[in-house]
Amino acid sequence: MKPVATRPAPLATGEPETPPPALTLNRITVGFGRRHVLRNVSLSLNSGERVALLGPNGAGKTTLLRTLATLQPPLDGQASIGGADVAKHKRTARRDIGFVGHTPHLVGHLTARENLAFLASLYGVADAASRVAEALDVVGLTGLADRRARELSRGQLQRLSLAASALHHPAVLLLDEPDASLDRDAVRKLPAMLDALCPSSAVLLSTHDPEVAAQVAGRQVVVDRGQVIESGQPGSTPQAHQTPTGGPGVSFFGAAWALLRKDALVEWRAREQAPALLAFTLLVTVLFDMAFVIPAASDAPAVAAGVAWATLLLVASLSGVRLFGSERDANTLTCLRLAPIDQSAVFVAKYVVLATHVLIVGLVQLALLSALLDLQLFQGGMLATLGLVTIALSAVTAMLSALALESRAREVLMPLLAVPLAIPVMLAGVGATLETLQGAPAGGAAPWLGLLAVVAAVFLALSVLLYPHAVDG
Amino acid sequence: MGLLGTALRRRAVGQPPLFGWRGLIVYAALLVLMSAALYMIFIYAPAERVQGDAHRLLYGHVAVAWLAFLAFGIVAFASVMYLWRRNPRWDSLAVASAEVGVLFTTLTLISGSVWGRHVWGVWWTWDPRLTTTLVLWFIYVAYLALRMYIDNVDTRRRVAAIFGIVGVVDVPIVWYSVEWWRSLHPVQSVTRAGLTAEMVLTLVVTVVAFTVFCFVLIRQRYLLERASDEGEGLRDIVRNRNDVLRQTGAPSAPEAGE
Amino acid sequence: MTQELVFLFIGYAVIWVLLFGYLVFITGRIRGVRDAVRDVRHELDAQRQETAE
Repeated sequence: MKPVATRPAPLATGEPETPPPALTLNRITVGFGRRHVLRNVSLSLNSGERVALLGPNGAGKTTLLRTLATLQPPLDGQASIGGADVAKHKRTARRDIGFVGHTPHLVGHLTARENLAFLASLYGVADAASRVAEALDVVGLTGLADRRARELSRGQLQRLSLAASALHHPAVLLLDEPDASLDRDAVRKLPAMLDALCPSSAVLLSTHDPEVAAQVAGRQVVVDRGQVIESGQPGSTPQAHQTPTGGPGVSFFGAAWALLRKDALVEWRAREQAPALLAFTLLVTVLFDMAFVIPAASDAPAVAAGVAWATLLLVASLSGVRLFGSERDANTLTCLRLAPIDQSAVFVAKYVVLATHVLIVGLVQLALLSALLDLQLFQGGMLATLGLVTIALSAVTAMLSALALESRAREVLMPLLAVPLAIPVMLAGVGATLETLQGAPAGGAAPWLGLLAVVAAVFLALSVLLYPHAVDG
Repeated sequence: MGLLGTALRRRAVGQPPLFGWRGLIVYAALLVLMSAALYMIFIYAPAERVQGDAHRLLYGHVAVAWLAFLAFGIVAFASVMYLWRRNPRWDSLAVASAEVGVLFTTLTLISGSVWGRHVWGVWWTWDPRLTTTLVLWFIYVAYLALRMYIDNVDTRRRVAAIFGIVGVVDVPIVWYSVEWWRSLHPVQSVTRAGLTAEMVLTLVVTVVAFTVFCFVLIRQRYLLERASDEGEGLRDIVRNRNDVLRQTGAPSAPEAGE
Repeated sequence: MTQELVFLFIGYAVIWVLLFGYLVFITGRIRGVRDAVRDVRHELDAQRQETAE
């Protein structure tokens, strides 16, 4: 990105004693590659002002909002929220942004209240429980607070999204076609809801209904084919943003813990992964055992070593497809990207989820193989190997899961990526298992365990370092 | 023949040349080096005592193997530079190097296999070198597959750069793990008689010739990638222009282009 | 002796064919892409002049 000379914003209101605008766009150009969706757009909003973006489909309204929400970096020009550049200081800007997209970024298996509480913990909202209750009351969902988000209607979800986006008193609230799934009555109540939820936030909403624009907003900006055609008069008197914004933010481990709790709860309720993975393990193990009808008992350790770790690799890459993929398919990854947290915390949380799955499957696997091959696999050496294989294998596949996120045919791609990279893990696992089961002198497996530890350390370090690049540009 | 003929014809009819005079010099040098290497491999270098003439295959084999690993090193370097600088040229270098690397890794595997069939009597054995090269090949192919499956240009470049770095970091780990793995089992040792001075000289010339060839290939592939990028960009410019023209009601250009 | 030479020739023939084949293929594709780019550019320039007039 080229550094851009700062030019005075053409629409900025000039008196020195007025507070700075909540949101400024200074001649921004946004696009994909060299394809420009927005050209030279300038705009500025004061705190408390409500502005409607009008324009036909494909005019660039959504792109404009996504750029402001730090989801799409501008090619040229500057966009800032509360004084923070959205491309350079994403995390700071994100504390001050509330965003409601086309599709709700809510977790289907959590209740309305849990969804809000989860977001409150990511944003570090003070006195979360009462703020959540207040927000639910304002959008009229108190009665449905303990119903899961997937059971809510489209309009109820939209209202819940509104509550979610305003929870942390954002300086700027961005609403992408909020009227798309709201009934007339709810649209009429929208200004009152905004008054109650976040009175001092600047609100920028897109719509193609002029009537809605007139109802909700004090000023109308018309966008067509990537350019501002008409930007109206800057709003009433600029006022200071009342509530304190840009709080301390959530710590790395605080964020990772909140994400882990959410994933554990979702897995417990949805049972999306564990039963399928266990069934898969059972099938593969039995199949292998049938294939190797063993002639001599001395071969059993070799079969156990091969089957155990190969199955675990398949399980890890299967589970890896879903790890980030499920978040993406449910649109909740956007919600995580919007949160003002260290994005590596997302990776760490996902890594722990994957490692837990792999470990459970691995224990079941050892039990199965003990029975089928008549071996004593629950012994110190084997458990240590399982632990280290789990740690290393999960590190490799969790990272690949994040990389394959935006690709087509993730299911096909995952094993293709994972198997070559995981070969050291496989060899070390087999080596350690053979040393342990063939009764080698004590410490024979140690070099292999060391190798596993090295692989785990290398991949974890690389992942934590590179993950923000993978998802956040 | 075709290549040179086409180049001269284009120069004659005033079309932009495929390569300038500097390019011609490089190709001439390449031809001379390659001929010299061939001569030295087949005639200059003496037959080896144990393997006879079969060892002559090793000169080419060593050269392509070294380049297979070098190309992967370039992928890693270009990937790091891309993540740091975000200049698409680094990404073009990475993809060029990866594709040429796949070619050289394939050649390493094939020539090694042919040699092994003759000397060891088998096409394949799980020797540490062979295994590591095979894994390297898989990682290269995975890298190219990953690129193929991601549509968004920016995401593709970013993700590929990360995978490029991770893949290279994995190679030494693979090497050590395979080495240890095999050291637990008896391996038939390859007899290596001492190399004569002629043999060393032949090896050096062959490696230099193949290295020049490799760089020419990477450069051509890089230029292809840049040209495609330019075409991509031009198509975007035409579309941007048409958007502006449509606003003013003027006729628009056809949205064609590579 | 003869068998050795057969292996030798197979080995080197594969190397040469693949290397030169790749070089010719890539150079041909560069030409194709560049020609296409040039055509679009000409068309664009011609049109630019039209609109200027």
